[in-house]
Amino acid sequence: MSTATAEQQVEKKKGEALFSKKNLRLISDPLNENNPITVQVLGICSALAVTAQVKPAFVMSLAVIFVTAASNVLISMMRNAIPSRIRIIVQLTIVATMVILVDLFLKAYVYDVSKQLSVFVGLIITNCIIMGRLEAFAMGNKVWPSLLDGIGNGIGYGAILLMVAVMRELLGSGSILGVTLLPESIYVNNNLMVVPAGALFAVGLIIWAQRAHNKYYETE
Amino acid sequence: MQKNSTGYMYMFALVITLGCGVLLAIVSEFTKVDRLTNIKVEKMTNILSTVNYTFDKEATNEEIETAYKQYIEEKVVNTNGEFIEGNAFEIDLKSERKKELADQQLPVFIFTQPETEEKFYVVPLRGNGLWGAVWGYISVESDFQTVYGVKFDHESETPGLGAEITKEWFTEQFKGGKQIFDKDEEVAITILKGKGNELNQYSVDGISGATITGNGVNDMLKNDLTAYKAYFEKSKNS
Repeated sequence: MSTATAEQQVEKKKGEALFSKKNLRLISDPLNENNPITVQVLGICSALAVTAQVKPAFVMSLAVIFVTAASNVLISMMRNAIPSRIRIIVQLTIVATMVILVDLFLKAYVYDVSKQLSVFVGLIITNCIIMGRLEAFAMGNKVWPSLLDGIGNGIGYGAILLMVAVMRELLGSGSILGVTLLPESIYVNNNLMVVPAGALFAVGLIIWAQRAHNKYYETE
Repeated sequence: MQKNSTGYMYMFALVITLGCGVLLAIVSEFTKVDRLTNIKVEKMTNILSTVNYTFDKEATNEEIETAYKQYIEEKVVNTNGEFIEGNAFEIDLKSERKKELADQQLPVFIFTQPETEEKFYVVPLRGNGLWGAVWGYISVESDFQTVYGVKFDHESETPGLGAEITKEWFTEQFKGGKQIFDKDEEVAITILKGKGNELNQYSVDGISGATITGNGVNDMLKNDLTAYKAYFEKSKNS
């Protein structure tokens, strides 16, 4: 009996501490050890597509953070009601709805940014990170942890996107955010970094650096 | 109802679809005015930017609309250079280009410089780049020969390559007396391949690595300006 009440208390305490250690790990994990791009290798396509320049990459990151967080919350709220046979379709519908919401708001209130991203906003729907988090986390967890998990993964995705974009814009166009840092007189722009293939090299280098830092090695 | 029963599944799917659909419809209606105004104002800004009439970043949509209405006169012409009925601003070039050349409505936006009363003629352009449509505006001086300014935009050209056509370094090249028609009255203004070319009054530097986009813009300039040739000649002589 006493152990049961003790457990209950612990649970209650956990429920109250919104930013408990366990919950914070939901945000920090995807930034490094469980990064959606460099470790899980998800969402690579958009990491190649929108990272030629920093500004679109930044807005794209914000949009993805919103979509992962919002759809994680919604799916988590109705996780017990979703029939398992059509759960993927339900997830997809929710994600698509969120993405179109983002698109409508961008078009209405930050039109120039929406023009920058053009078709890529719509392509967030196909970002496997979002579906991955819904299936792996939101379907089995409460609303608050799901929100944190969504935000964490969104940030983890955005951080890599920005790193790749900085590398590509600097080496490919000699500028950051459109401001020229390396004039063509001292640095010849490398067109490889502008084309999507350049992003593969950039992502590869980041994975290398991250693994070296974490001392992670593939084991047979 | 059982959670795994077929009936429940259909019910759930129906509720979700309806819910999402209604939500999106409401938000879409709610933002409609703002979205359409943004598109309209962007077009006005683009037209005015080709005649060096620019706004600072804080300019409100109303200010831009007022300036546009004050300085721009809208006309529609056909390929024979005759004025025809129509709303120049609302003409959709995409569907217009599918018609026979003789049936096409060609919009002209005439800008009167507030100080000098000088007139400039802005013509919309539309063509194909590498991945999707490219479009823009070109303004000519009242000799119907000298380019005054250009503005390009695109649907999905590669950022850093084809998408550079929107950048100032590229469009600035068209200023400073570039000529449209050559001695034989053909459209001669062209974008060359890459940078560092020997330029004359008909040519500007291209974008390295974006030759196909450049070719698309060239075709667009050639086709669309040729359609206006009759109108230009008539106006020149009148």
